[in-house]
Amino acid sequence: MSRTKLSLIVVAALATIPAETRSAAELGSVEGKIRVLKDGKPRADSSNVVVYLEGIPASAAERKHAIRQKDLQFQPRVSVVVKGTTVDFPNDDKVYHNVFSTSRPARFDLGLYRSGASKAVQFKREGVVDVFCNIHPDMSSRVLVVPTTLFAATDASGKFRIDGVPVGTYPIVAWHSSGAEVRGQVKIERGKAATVTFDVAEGERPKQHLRKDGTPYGRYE
Amino acid sequence: MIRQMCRWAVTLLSLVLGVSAARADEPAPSATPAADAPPTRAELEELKEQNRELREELLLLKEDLQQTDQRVDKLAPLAAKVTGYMDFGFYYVAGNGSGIRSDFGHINYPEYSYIVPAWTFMGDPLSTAINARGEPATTGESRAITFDPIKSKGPTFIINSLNVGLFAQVAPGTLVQAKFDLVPRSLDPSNKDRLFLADFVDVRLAYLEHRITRKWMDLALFAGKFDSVIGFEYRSQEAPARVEVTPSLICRYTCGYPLGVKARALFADGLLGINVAVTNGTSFSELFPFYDEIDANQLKTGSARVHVAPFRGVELGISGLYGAQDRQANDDVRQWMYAVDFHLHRHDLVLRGEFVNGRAKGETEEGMRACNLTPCLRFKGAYGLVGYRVTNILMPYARVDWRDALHRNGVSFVYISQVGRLTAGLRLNLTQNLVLKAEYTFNRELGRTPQFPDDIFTSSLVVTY
Repeated sequence: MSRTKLSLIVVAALATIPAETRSAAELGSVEGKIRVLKDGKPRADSSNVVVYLEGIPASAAERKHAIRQKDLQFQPRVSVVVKGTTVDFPNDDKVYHNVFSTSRPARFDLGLYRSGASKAVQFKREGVVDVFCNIHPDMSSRVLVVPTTLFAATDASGKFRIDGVPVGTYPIVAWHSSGAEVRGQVKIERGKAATVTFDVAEGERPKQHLRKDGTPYGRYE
Repeated sequence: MIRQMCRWAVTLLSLVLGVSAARADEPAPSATPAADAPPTRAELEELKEQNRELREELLLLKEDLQQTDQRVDKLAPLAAKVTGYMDFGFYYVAGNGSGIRSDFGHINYPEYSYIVPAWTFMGDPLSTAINARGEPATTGESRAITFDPIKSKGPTFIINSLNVGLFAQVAPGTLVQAKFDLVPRSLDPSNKDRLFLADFVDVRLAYLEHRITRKWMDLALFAGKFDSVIGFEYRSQEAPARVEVTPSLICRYTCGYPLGVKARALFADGLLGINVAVTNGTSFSELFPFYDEIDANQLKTGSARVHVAPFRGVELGISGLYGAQDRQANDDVRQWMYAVDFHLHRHDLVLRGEFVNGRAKGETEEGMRACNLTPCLRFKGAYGLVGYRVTNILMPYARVDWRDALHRNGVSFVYISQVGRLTAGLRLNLTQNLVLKAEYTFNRELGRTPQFPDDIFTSSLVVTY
């Protein structure tokens, strides 16, 4: 994990009510608080946890997101996108980059491309996608692909709220950018806000990764 | 194996899909009377949805298989990976191509009048380096540095090196790496002393590396012939990585490839790094006569470097070495040096500086001239480099370097090296694999040494593979 503080970007444009919008009377909300635990103790900052609901698929609307390559870093380092979103990877540096991923939900290799150029990938499957550069080992970005537009990120105190949820009982997931995940169930009632509380134990992201061909990076790269 | 498994998975899924699709068209089994009834519209819709999902999954699996096939094809030849580069150059050095002149008549350094005038050398024999290997155009009349593989002031084209790198992962976390230069040089059949090697092979790296990753530390253990642990310049001394064409004046002290064992530990995600090595000889380059790849004495050389990297792209280091002086048998004759270095690489700016100071004590027989048994060397030197990436392709750079050294051996010779240089150049990254560099170096003698022509123009076209 880089020392650079992770900035979790929720694609705001995507966090809209699904196309199959229902009348307000059939909708409810879910809110709550997530505690991030480090070595069993709560962290002061519980932000950057994504909470989402399963079982309410998003519409097939076209969605876009961008992860820029600037100053030999991916920006943002962590993103949440809805399944089916096309993510652009523009190269804003003055050096070549080669974006790739070997994560199961999205395996791709965009090849070398220079400053000003951009290539894109559609994220068709749910899950966590680790994105790297084949030339610069310090460049990494993590993308959480979720099945729904019904998700929210916690603030520093760990609070979140998701509105516009159809009445029913759904699996709910709290995911931390370190990879830790907690699952539960929530019952949404008409016009009411269900409350959920989770503890997420912060995990460790792998410190090293390999190039796209499975070999280690160079001696000082 | 992976390919085979994926094919089985696709076949299995196709069968399932086929059965599922077939069932959608057939009447439901007649286990119960109700089952004889044709499927309801809702059931058909459900099956249709299942079918769609399965088809979608099949498409994804096919994509996976395609990706896996590509990976397998790429990985298959990687049991031993071969990399490297070819460095082609053109250069011209003013004067006779050498960075030294004799103090005939002891006019400038009368204190060394006990030495034959032709062997009192002013200047630096390696200051007219023309390539990334640090080879001078010629060493001229030099007595201590006699390896003179180029021996031409130019103008001439030259293959600086054809570099070959070998890599193999022998076990998880355990690698073998080797790098060597194939160096084509002139053969002088008329040279009876056979000091001309003609084409030769220079093994730069040959080591086993084992990496251990823990939550709080990344540790790498090395055995063999590996990179120096002194300073910073050694990290980018190879032609593709080096911003400039030529090494600094102090690279001879920090850019060698010592032979022994080494451990490198990084803590707190690289915030703190410690490098420790026990080697046969120093981290001096092989061109310089204070380096011994195969040891001649029992006392080994210890070296270490500690660095902090408080911000991304910024590194501050301090390093040093101590041990028996190389190329002599007496363990009591010691050699030491220390170095401080600074490196910044932020956005498109590269800024770097290093300072070294050291001494090889040498040995003197009582009543005889200093350092008559074993040569002595005291040295100080520094450089500063700045480069800025203006565009994707263009990177101008400038370097200032300085060296003050005294190298003597009884009445045999003395080198009084007080040299300052200014280098300005351009680096063009034509493609990811093709780099063109050109630079001009103003070479200036300092102290009492008179000026003589030894400026250098050199260029390099590097293609990596």
